[in-house]
Amino acid sequence: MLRVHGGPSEMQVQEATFFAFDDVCIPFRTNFQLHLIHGKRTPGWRDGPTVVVPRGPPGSHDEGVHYYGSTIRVGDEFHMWYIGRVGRNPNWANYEGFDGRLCYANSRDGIHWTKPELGLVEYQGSKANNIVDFPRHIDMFMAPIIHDPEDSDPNRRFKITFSHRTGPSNNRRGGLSVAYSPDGLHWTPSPDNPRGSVAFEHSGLIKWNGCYFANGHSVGHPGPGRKMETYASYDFEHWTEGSALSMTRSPRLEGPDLEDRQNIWEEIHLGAGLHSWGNVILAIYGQWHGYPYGDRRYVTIDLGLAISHDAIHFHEPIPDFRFIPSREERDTRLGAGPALQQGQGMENVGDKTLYWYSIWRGDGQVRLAQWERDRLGYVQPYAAGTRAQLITCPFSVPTAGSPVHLNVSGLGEFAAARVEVVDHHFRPLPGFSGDDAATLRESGLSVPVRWGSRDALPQTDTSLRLKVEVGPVSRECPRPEDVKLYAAYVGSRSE
Amino acid sequence: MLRVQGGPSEMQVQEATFFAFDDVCIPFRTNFQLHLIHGKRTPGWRDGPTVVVPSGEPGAHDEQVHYYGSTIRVGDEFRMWYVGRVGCNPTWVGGYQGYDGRLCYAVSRDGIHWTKPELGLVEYRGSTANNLVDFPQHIDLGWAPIIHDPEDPDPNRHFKIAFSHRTGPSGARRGGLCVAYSPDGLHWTLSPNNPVGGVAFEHSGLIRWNGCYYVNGHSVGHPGPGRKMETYASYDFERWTEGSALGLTRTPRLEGPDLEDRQNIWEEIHMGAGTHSWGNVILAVYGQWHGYPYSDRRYVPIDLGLAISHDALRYREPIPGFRFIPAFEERDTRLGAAPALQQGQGMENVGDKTLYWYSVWRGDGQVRLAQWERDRLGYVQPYAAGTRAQFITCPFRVETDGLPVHVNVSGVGEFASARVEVVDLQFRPLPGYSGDDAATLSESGLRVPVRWPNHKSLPATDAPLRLKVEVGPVSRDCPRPEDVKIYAAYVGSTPAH
Repeated sequence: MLRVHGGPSEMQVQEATFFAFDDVCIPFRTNFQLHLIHGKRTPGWRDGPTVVVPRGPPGSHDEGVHYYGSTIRVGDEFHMWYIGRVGRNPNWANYEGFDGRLCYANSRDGIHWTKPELGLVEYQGSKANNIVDFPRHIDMFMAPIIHDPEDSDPNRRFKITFSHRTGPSNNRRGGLSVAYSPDGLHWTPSPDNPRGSVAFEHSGLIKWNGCYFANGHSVGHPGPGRKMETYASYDFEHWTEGSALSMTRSPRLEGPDLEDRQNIWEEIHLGAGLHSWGNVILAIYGQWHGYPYGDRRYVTIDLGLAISHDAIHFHEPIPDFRFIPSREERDTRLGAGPALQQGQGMENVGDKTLYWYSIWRGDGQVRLAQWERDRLGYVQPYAAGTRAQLITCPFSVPTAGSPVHLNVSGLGEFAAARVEVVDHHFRPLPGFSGDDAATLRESGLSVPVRWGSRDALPQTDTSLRLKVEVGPVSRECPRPEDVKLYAAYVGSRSE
Repeated sequence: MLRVQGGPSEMQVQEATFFAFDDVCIPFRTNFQLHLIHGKRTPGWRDGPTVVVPSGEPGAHDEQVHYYGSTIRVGDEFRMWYVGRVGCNPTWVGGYQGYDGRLCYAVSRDGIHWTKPELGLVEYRGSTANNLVDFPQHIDLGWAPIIHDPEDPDPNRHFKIAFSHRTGPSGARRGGLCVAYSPDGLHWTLSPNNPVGGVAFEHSGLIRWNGCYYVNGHSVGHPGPGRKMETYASYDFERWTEGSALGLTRTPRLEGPDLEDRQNIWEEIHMGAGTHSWGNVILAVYGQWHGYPYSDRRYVPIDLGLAISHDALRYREPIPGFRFIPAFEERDTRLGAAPALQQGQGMENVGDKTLYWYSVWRGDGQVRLAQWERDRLGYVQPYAAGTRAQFITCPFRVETDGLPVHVNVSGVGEFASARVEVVDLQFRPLPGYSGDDAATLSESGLRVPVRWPNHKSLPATDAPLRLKVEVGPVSRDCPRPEDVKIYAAYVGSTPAH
């Protein structure tokens, strides 16, 4: 007898977020239409993007900005790492500069950023800059960084994976390398670099269920086009030689008719920046739209949304949805296709969800996309007058007193939602279902669910599920199709 | 603090099968190209399909056969349920389906040679000398996914069926999801609570997985055009979820007035999938509906596709759109109509073969046989010559000492070999099973034993293990590693059949 662990195991979290677009955490649905919300619904976007970290003045170490970096909140402070470049490298279609340096910015709110004078690295005779202490011979072009406070070694509290050109302004790349830092400013590369044999263009790094995963595009799997691939390590030093083919958008064709075709497909560029929401990973990937004649200058790149529950396999809630569209990024050089650069960093701040990105072949400055908090997508009844219903995956509540909240709009005078609790076997939980179901008539980002006098779930030995219904739940509910349900939360609220 | 069970849990099995095409059970790979093998590579298929259960004589209760049924092995016997129909019902697209679908029965010792026993249960045209099953005759069956459930404590519920039907003889109106029970598969009793599901649900799959029943078909529970694979769940077979899980979709998620007149034109999923447990993975054979631009169902071809699942809810195709059992050259299809296959539920390893039964729509409907070499439904093969190819499985925990490991592999021999190592959860070598102690395979076969220098099997360990298989320049005597095809690896005891 043996046990096969062929899938994501259960996740232990303080708060579970059941996003409307997460079909693993909300498997059963009827009469609900899923929508995603793209990141250009921000008021005022037509006036131009929200640039939050500008590039430096001409001649500075970051006169060209390639974000492909990371934004991490530690306590009350936001830390950002991005790549500063100088000049224009003709070997790179003139879009990227030379000598990528790891640069640093910080912020109190994620919107207003400063570039501190770190005094660590001399550039053009001065240390009054924000260049991080990272070995200078390494020409960086991606910087996925994680904060790992659980590491027992205080010098490894920040970790980075990178591939790089082997010398200043050199074009040859090494394999996957790693470095460590106690504070994100002073970095020490592993003495055993490279730790992976593959030159791996990646934008994602996450610790999930005790294992580190690096996510990018690579050459480990056959077929045309860039595909999302993931390498794994439990100690950050020994990485798998093979990768998981995490997601693909290109056809699985081959043959001599295709051998001259580069850059023409629907592809995945640099994998995805990975963001843990506790029980689900939100992944923002480079949605490469190929150009039929292979010229990368005309390739466009939007940013897409995928999700995962094991950091290995990813899928899109709505395939090809342009989660952050590249349209109207008018700082793109005229004639080139607009192309976005994802980074790793997505945070809930107050009543907003923030995400930082930049553009390729343009000014490269770091921009901000934002949504109402956790309102990245929603389900809505699509057949008026018919009940719409969803049931979550099971969850267990080891301690009593876990509250439930809904992120919902459209409730009010003419629409209501019912929330029940059922057990693993879909049987009603007494006191939380049937006549005791909670009825919500209030909209909000975090509307508390109350069953009679109960405002939290009981501790139970068996698993529970939430069952949410929208529809003709009462005579006073003539417009249930107005309701948009974005997420349900179980557990304590935390920033 | 709470725990969220947002995915398939671990599966406890006697033997684990790590199929080459299962990217959950074999997540990490390099330099391997995945191929699937379609079911018409059987020698002699050009002479026509392998009909194993013919339709009855004209006028018989099964003068037309709509398989959409089930084949189950119980002990040494194979049992098949299919739907027999009579006449040509003009309300069903010009008479492709007959009237009055009846549940019929056939038996076999090898899955290839079948007989229709005279059950003596139901009178048809004055005689009970037929293979009609004792199923309420007022029910016009359209499909018959049946499971054998010997773990049910009630012996009268050891066989279960889920069905939707027209409400009366030759009627066109359908009820919702209904269920029935049987002690032997021949005498059936309807649930007094029928219909137990609110939706008229065309389905071909039924499975018990991790203690829960799942019925798999296409339905109307999710927006957007076209038929999509959906799954309803029940823990007691009586109370089914009102909502379904959207398991797989091949249609665009478009809507709007320009699309409201478009029916049958998309890449769709017809009747969901017949679902087959291989212990740690479900193999699902679904109706791969290729829409006709002008919506006429007579011209819609249907191949059968392969999808896999580890939780019976969400399915993925190892190679999207692959025609696992192609409809081409099914020359019994009525001339002018497009070839379209009907899946069923039933896939079995028999000797050195894997067998699957299907039939055709808009033709003679007789039940046919697709077959593969045992478990050789797909394979990985090195694609860059001279470079090492490697895969690592998902973790598994060995609970009892002495579990053997086998590999289903070809191309190994004088010029090619493969190495098999064992590593732990964290990819660290297991002493005695890796490095210099790695096993080297130099023999091809459906089930080649893996032997490490000092071990023939795996030890029981508290920590999970993984298999690591390498093909490539593993030695100087291996100049043609790209010849190697790996179909599957097995951990655990050899099944009885």
